Amino acid sequence: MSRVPLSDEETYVIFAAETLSNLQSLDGGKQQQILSRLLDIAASANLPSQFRHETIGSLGILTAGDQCRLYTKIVENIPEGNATYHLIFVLYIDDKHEYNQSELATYDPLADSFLSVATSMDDVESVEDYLAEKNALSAEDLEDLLS
Amino acid sequence: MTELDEETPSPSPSRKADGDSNLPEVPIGLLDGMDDIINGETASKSDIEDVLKF
Repeated sequence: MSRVPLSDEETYVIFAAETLSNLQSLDGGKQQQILSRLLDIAASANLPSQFRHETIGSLGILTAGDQCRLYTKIVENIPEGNATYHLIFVLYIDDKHEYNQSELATYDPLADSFLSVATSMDDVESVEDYLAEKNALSAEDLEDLLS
Repeated sequence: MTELDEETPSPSPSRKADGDSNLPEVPIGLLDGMDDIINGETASKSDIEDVLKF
């Protein structure tokens, strides 16, 4: 008889469309660094929020290597069946640090509120369907990208 | 113009209120990424695969 685990925790990563151009602008080494960092976090037994380097509003900033910062929204402890899910929404990948004033904006608490509503799982009926709809990547998917 | 008008600072929606002066400046791209998630625009595994250079 097969053994059914009583509890399982899984972390998924969801990339905002904006991050594609961020990734595209980086060299292969930095791209690898970022995906490896996310894989480490997704495969870890620790909660994703424990890897936050700093926070802005409800956002968490993760670091990858010496230079890259990943601006994320982390949503944790989403229960479904025997599983518990954690989500990392990657919003922006920063490898630059020095910006012209025209490339900067004041962080908008209203946008933060909208984002919190958009990433709330309260009304989600099926987490599995949600993950598929949002192109969520598992640790295995990240491993595939790195291989 | 009334005296009240002269003494009352005129708030402008395009300017930060004094209490907001501690809000950090962030790259504009971050706000675009937040908008993407709010609007359900995400990158798929194959989208990401297409931009990888290793």
